[in-house]
Amino acid sequence: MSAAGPVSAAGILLGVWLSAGAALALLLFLIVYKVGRSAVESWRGRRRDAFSPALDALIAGAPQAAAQLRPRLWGDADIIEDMLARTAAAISGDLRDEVVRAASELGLTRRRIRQLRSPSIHDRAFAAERLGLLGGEEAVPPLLDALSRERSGARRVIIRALGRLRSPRALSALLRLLEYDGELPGAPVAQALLSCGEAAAPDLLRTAEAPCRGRAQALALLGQMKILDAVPILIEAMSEDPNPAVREAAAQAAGRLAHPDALHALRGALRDGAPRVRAQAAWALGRVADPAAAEDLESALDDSDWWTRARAAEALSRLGETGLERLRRLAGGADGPKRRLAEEMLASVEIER
Amino acid sequence: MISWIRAYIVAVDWLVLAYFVGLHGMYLLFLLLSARELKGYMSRLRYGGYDLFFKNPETPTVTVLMPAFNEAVNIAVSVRGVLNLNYPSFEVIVINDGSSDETLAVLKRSFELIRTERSMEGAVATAPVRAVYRSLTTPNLTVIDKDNGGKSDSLNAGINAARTPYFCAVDADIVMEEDALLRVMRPIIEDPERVVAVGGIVRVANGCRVVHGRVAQARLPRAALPMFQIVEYLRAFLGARTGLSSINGLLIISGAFGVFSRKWATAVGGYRTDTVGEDMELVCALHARLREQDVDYRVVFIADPVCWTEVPATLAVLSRQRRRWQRGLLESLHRHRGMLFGRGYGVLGWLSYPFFFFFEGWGPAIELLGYLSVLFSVLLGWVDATFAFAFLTLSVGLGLTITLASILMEELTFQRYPSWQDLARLTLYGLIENVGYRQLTSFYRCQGLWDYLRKKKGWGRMPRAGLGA
Repeated sequence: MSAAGPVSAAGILLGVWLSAGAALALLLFLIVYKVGRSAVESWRGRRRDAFSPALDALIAGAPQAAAQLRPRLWGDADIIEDMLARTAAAISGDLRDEVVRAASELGLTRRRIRQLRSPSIHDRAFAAERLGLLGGEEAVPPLLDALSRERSGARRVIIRALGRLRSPRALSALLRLLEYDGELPGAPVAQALLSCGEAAAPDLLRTAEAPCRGRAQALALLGQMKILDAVPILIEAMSEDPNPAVREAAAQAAGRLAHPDALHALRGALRDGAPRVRAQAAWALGRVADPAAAEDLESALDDSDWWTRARAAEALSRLGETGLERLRRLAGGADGPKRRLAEEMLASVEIER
Repeated sequence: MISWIRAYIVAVDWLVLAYFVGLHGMYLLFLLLSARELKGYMSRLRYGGYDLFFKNPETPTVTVLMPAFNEAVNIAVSVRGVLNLNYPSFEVIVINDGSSDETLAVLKRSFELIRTERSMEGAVATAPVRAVYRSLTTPNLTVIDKDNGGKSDSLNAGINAARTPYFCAVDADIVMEEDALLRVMRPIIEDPERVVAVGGIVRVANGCRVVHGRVAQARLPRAALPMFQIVEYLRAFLGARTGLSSINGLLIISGAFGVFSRKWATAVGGYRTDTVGEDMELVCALHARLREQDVDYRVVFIADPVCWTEVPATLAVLSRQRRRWQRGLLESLHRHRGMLFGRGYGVLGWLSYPFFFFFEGWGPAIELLGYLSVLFSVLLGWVDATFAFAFLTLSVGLGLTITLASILMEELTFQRYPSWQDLARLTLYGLIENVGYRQLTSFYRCQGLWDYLRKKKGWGRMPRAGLGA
């Protein structure tokens, strides 16, 4: 006796067959895929082995080595490019130029430049990534062109590639982005500039001079690159700029540069209206390590902001005997929280010794 | 009378069959979404090296919050594991939740803690804090010692002490990958304006070779119970959650590992202390608040393996865990019932919430009812054996299809279990879980459902075997 009519019974049976069939098909696919992948991988491994002597010769500066790398079989171009890219990421200087030239001679660069116009975001981004490693001067105009078109997430990959190429032309474009481009978070640009190194300094100084969108970042970068010419600019920014983010960046850069000229401005910044500026100034005074700041730092231990207090105590411990003397006095006789802060600092100093 | 009962039971048989087809249909949908998402993710991995974020001066600082209650066995290894994470700038706050064992003493000994002044001026109310300690040997480690108040309460104390824009909540018994924090922060670094929370995949550590708090080699466990859970986790994380995340419909981020915006977590009052499903609750509350304020936001799940956890190895512990999960799930669903087909909730109200409500929340009851009614009908001859056979094959076949697709997804992406033997074992367990394990967890979840209906509180004990040296 059946509750289900013949139609629904057939329906169920169809479902059974379908689901069993799907499971079986998936299992088969899984097996075929696994076999296929290991076959492809071992093939690629063999091809890599075949090319590696030529690559070694190229890095050793042997003439005609690039010709040895010429792709012969299907898939060789990708394998060679992978090998070159890995090498380029690991080395620098003239040897790298050698690798870049090989990529250009083999037509790999042109292939990726064409790919910058691909409809797929992933392909465009990957092309940019490779051009950043292997592209050289030849890749700068197409990358800049792609940057002007790009609105997707591939944008940050292009910016990074431009930074890696360290070309003057790319540099000025990056600085324009830092100054004017509102839609883009500054981080990728800042990082690209950082990878350009000191070559970026003159332009960064110009950007940091006057109030603009990228001023805080330019100041922070100058501090990271340890550009001493920036000191007068950041002294001015620390006391004059209306934007607390800029004042904070200036204080941070002053700490990184640890220049004695910044002392006066930093002591003033300890009384800034914004807590983050005060905390940063306290930290920076610890880096400058001039005992003249001891008095101000001790008063900063009464600051309303916890970070400022903590940073000030830390800075005191870096002022040498003058600072330590003050900390010992506080540890002996001050009221509760201040005493504990001082004790804590003295204990850390003890450990470091 | 008998004919009424009979008609009723046969109707239940059909309802349950429809439920099975519906459930697996949903899973299939999520799998397809997930496949699309994973394809993009794998492509991005080709050009977005993590060195980018590592060297970037503007990668945000993160506070890792690790609540610990009676974790003396593992705590030193776990904390070292977190401190050795590969991330440019982060702080670790361990919250000792009034442990009755040696947890605090072990911490003091291992990291040379001294008392410190640190303001806890955060907005979330917590149980009284006894003391805050700072490590002399490790500058970025802070330990908060407080009265016992539960996991949520500890996390809230950590949120109060944190000063960074994001915090990462982790379980004390977790084994993290070196790049875990970088990987999980990536969506935030790429889209800081919109992403408010990110969860990472949690994998099963049982059987793996763990050295110095890191998984040195992923291996499948010998025991059957953890094997079933591996299959289950693959399905849930690679299938459902990745898919839901791609349409911003994620209702849960595992409490074992998740990053949240401190601003928004504070805005919704932090973790709720009156539920056992505090992880899901926070995500639901974030959704509710952000939708209410009409903010353009995203809650993201990334499928890249980030951390490993020891799953229950005995039935007793498994049963407690599932009962607790089920109760937490239902509590959160009930509290946010306004989401169901609610205005302005979009995909959340029309897909995620209904899925969790009908299939995850009440599903186990339907399933168990179904097994009983089919068994009953067959024994009494009310449906024929063909129906019973078809019912069984269909439910097994559909389940296996979904499981195989998840295993395939793993094989196409991260390949943490590369050998043929592993593949065979995963498939085998995917097949036999349908007979026994599945029914067992349904039973535990029904118990959880019952607990929820009776408003039972508390966590249940979870003893730890230790993660090995």
